[in-house]
Amino acid sequence: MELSDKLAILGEAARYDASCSSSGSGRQGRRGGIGNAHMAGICHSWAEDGRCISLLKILMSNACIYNCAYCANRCTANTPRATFTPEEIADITVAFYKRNYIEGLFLSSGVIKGPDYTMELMYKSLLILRTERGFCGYIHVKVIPGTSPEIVNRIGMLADRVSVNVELPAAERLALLAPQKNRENIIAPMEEIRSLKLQNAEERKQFKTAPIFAPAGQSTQMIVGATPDSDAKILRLSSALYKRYSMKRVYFSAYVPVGSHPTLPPPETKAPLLREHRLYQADWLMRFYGFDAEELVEANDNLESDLDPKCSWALRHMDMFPVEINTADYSELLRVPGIGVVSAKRIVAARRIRSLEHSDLKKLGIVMKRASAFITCKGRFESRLSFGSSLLRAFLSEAGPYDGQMSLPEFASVPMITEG
Amino acid sequence: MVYVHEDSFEGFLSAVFTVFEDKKTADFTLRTTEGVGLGFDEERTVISDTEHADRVINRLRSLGIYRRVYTAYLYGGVEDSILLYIKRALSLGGRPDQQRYDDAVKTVLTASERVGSEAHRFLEFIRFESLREPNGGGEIMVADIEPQYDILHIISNHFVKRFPSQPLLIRDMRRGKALVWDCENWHISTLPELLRPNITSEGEFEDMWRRYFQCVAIPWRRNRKLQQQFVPLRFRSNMTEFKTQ
Repeated sequence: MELSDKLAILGEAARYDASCSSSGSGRQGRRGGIGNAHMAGICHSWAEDGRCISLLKILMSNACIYNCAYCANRCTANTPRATFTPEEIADITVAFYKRNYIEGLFLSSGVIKGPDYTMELMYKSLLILRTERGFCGYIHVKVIPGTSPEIVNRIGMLADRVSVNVELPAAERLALLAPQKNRENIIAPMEEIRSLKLQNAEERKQFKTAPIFAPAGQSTQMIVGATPDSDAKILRLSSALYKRYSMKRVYFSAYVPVGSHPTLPPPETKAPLLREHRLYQADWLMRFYGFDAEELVEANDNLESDLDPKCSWALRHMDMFPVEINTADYSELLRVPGIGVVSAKRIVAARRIRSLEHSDLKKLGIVMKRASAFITCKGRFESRLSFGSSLLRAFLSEAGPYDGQMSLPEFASVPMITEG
Repeated sequence: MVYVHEDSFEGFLSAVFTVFEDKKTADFTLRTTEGVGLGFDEERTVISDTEHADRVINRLRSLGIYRRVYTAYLYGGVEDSILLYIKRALSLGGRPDQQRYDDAVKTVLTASERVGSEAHRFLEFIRFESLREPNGGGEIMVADIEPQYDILHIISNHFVKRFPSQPLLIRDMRRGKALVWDCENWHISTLPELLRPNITSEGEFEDMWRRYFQCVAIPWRRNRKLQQQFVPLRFRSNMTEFKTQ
């Protein structure tokens, strides 16, 4: 098989992995080598689906022996199969990198023979890249559940990020849909990565030049909509993963029916893109805005679909508004719809010089259309919508039926946002 | 008073020096020799002076605003605001960036941010082609760009650090300049001496990249409007994956 055909098969097979970020690592280049990592990450292109391409995202192989019902590469699926050699992966990565197509490599794989056998091949690809080819660009490796800790350790010493997919929000569903996987062998490598990273940090305190274990940390991904789990369940699990394993990111992937199984949605089901979008918004609020998973869902099972979760929270807590721009804490400013992390910081810096008027706020980047009903400046309230009116909800909601083509600008540009 | 200066960064800095020397920061207008005066105000022609320009640069560096001023200057047409911005920095003894509510500060920051984002776009979108020097010479990676602003200087550090052992040539086709990196030093050169055959974009890896680019898109998520938001059409003529072969 031609190399180009392999790339087409194994690129297509990898496209359902949502992770694309190339951020979080400051790996330096060196003379005689090629590449370095950019702390904030760089996207290099955007595909026709509007998702960014930052890393060469491929599978080592899609000749998988597992039969996970939700996966396009399960062994019973009728799809062309291919497997790269480690040399081929190194060749394509370097050739693409030196043309500035990519920031580095995202390497995942179906299971050939067993987890350890496959991960050894992936390790070999990394070893060739890092040593023979002198490659210092970004590498993200997906760890297969059940891989030996010793291999995970060797891979982490060469990669910038390692990750293990949670797959499904509920452990009991996993047993049903992915008979060869279970929550324990998914959690085990996460624990392993966490402890190896801590151990490595200790070593680096003593030997400053010791190599870093996965400098960009670990991330994970779960499929949304393949099982009847609620948003509340998904967000609680995400929150626990962030806290317990210091995850850099939890990715969500809207499920599109690729197989049939009595417990999976029927083949004509549309992928829940809007739901995925709301979950990402909630995820952002947990990571950068100081919200807790419980605050976002409260008594509800699911997030509101026609309001973003921040507006939804604000409307449920009108007693906490309006907020006075000149005196509110940074953390209070962050909770105002229309004020983001950047504009909240600008407000805090600017009001040290002089107190702010409504007319100043637009220049600071505040979205007044959203914010004005929630704020006062020097005690003055300037919204035309009377505070707490029922019109406010209608005004803030994103009306119109969802056509599946909603733009996801904030999330497509994920790698540009500095993490951690 | 209208200060007429040469249309270059050095010319602009020389004018800044002269305005401060004349203590005219409350009443001045800057104009380049290319521009047309209205003839109502008194004019003074500023001769570019490297020493004056260097003194201004050193002061800007000590205030931590050199890069800001340089990038805002590249945006063009906001010279008066830059001078007011510098004046604020001097009275503050540091960056006035937190005073974004001020019109001059806002103008300078916006200009600088636009140039910065244009420069970042080229960290993303530059596409190199491999060219072999004739007579068995080495490989050189060549890219053509047509940036809105003159950003070659700003992006040099990124590419030089990234490719320490790979000679590079980045040609700004709009301005007839090029960034040249020979693995020892880099400099900005004028184009004519560097003319080479047109980039063809034909090759094994170019084709593989185009094919991969099609394969990674998820068909049922197709959203060309969103794609265009991130990769505006004006960049595509120099990007391998958007060139049809």
